[in-house]
Amino acid sequence: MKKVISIALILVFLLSLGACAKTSKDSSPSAAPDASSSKSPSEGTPNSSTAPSETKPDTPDANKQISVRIGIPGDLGDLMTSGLQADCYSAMDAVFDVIFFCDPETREWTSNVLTDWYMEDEHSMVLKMRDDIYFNNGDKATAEDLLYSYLCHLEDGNDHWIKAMKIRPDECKIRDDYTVVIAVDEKSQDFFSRDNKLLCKKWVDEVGWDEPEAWYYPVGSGPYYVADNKPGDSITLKLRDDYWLAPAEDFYVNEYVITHYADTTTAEMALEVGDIDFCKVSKSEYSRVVSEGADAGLDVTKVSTGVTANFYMPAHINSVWENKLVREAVAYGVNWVELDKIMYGELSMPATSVTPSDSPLYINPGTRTYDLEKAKKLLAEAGFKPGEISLKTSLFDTAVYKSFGEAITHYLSQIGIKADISYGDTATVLAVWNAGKETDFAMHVNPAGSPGRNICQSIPGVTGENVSFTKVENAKLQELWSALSPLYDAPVSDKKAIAEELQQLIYDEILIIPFHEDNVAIAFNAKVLSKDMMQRNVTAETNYKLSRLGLRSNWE
Amino acid sequence: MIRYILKRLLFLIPILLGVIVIVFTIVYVAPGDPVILILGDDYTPEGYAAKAAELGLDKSYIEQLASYIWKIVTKLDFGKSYLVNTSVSNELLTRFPTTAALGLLAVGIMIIVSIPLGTLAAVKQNSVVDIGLTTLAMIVAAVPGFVLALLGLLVFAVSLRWLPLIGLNSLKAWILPVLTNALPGIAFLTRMTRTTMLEVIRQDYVGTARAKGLRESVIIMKHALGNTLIPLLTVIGGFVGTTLAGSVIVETIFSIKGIGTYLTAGINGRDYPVVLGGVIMTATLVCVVNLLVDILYSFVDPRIKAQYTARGKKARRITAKKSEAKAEVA
Repeated sequence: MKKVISIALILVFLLSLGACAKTSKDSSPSAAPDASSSKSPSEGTPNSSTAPSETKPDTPDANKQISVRIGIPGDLGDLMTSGLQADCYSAMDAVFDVIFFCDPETREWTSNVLTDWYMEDEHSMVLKMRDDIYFNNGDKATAEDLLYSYLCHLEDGNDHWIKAMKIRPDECKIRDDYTVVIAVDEKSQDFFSRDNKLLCKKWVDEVGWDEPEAWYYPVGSGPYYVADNKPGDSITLKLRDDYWLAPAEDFYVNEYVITHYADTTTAEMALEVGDIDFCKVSKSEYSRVVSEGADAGLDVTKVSTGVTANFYMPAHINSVWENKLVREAVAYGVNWVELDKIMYGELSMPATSVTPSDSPLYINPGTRTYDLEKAKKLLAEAGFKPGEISLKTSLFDTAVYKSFGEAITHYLSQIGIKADISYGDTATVLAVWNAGKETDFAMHVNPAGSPGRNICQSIPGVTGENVSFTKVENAKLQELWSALSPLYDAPVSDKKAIAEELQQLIYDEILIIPFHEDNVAIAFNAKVLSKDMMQRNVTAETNYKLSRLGLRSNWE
Repeated sequence: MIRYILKRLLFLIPILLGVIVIVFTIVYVAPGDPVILILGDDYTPEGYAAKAAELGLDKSYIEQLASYIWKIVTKLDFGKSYLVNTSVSNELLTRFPTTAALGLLAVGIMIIVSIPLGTLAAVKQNSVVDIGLTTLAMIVAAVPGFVLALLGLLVFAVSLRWLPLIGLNSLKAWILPVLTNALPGIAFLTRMTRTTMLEVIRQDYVGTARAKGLRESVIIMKHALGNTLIPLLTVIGGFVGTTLAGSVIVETIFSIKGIGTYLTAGINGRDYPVVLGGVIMTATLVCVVNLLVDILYSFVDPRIKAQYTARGKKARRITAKKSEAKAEVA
């Protein structure tokens, strides 16, 4: 009897192994996913093909409005606009009006709150606001609120934002009821990219910045308000009847329910059973959703976050990088396309420049194909024997960084460069990075993304104002970067020449090696939403522009 | 007995003090800087100094430790979370009932299921029932908790759609988290019950009971089971302690706001007040549960009960003799 049971157990085990093998073979993608919705392919930029949107949501009923449910894996966050990591960006976008935002069609910066803005002189940014903005508590927004929306960082614990925006707080003034003059050291990209929200000064003065509970039902001027807040679990937003910018009839979504899930796997399950309408999808699940999602009425799209993942070789930390031949050896000796696939799997999207291929500023400055023999020759020409160069660095202890670490160690060793990588958690590694020690090389991708496809956001630390290893000791590059940064809100035509020169310089001098166009995969209920909607209204990871997504024009 | 309980309660104080000092020191010397984590990577030196001063992190180790212990002793105040600025004490108290309910339900199911199954396996040793139960218990014990949780979700929530995916919003929603919490314990306790029962039923007094002609069911239920439960109490007590401290895996996968997820988030975010508060609460719960188990022993195990009673009688006899001796001398 014991023998019979043992044999039966072994058979069950073998059958289950066989079932698993069958399942993994079946899950290889049968359809090529599209990378962007509106740009035609450029030469030398793989994965930028456009696929027409194949799914169409149900036609909206003129008399009907819908509820859209969103799954957020990881921390749900809260609505205190202090910029701490714990913010729920998506909900905040619906409840608060941002002062500046990027138009998804033109990629240019614009504002619903301001009628005009300009530099009056070298140090004065004049902001003129509309006179018909109302908060959801009925208060009218004035210049006092607008000014406070910038200077609040002196109170909310983020005074380093004041410095990043180069604001001189003591010299800012209110010119009239709807005009503010912000005194700045100089115009900077952070002034626009920090996502400052219009705050009701009177309400914030009442509740302060010390008690998060007071911000569970915040006062904002956005189209939605918080109807229910279960901190850490879910936030329910409802459409205002009195939104100042557009009547309620212009919106098709009258309710958002944002729910927290422990991780992407659970959120994906919730999407499959119909508990939510869209969520981020992990790279390991991407193929499965593409191939099997249609059965469950799902679709998936990749959305660029507007920045690239870049490999940095900081010469100010390790002088070996001062030698261009060494940099060139690494450029040829690492199979960057393969590295991208190893790290990002189905979400791989090789980059050829420091801005994504759908950026209006993008050029293809050239391509270097993997050539190990050439790389070895270059290293020898630089005067280094194999094994003579030894590099150290610290990286985050995450799957992506670990894949990067293992692959780059292998490629560098093939060239003849030793790499020693230590892994740690965010706090530990950030401390090492900021100290500038033992970070002889690293990879960096701006987690905030860049809706405007701004090159300076893709390579934020070139002049030394970010993590240590992102600084590039090249006078010409720093000059171009500094010239481009204040043009953040300028039309594309004003920025193109500098942007092209900067991209070409980076390629020719091998100052930074971009290798991946950062993107996030979003799976959604195809009966309710479409690829176009996701492309236009998703910026970085879990940063959904719900105020825009709710508009009826998305469905028409 | 009361003196014993009071003595054990007093022992809690140095134990908890030791826990506070050890955990505080570990968190203090661990690499990583919570100030950088809060401010992000674009902080300025002035901003860093201001934030560190605000959080009290610019003081010396001794000053920080002393201040922390003083706040706990005088106000039961574990401080505020660095990341979300909410009171750690309030948050722990808010989350504790959920974690406790999950844990106690799991332990209850564990006891109700394991003891009868383990007894059955022992009584029917080497039969199909015994082999089947033992094998099943081994398989369940071998499967990691998160796999059980995800399998349960896949089968019952996604495929069959019988149960909800996350949260505890309805009675049905409790089924998967509680079962996931209970299953590893059921597997372990079943095997332990079987082993203990096998030892007990081989004792002489059980043989005597059989010789007297008692029915097998009476022998097992009346004579063997009680003695089997005594060593199991320690195991059950251990389970109660750990489940009250929070199951990270279950709470994470089912998105339950409990102590386990709170503590994990605190560890990952270098949120010292949360880590310290969570660990101290866990340590206190484990100590209290161990004490309760020890007290329960004295009621359940007649030998220990007699010891206390005998000690008490002996003490009274000695005291009486001394009083008589004094009186004679006087």
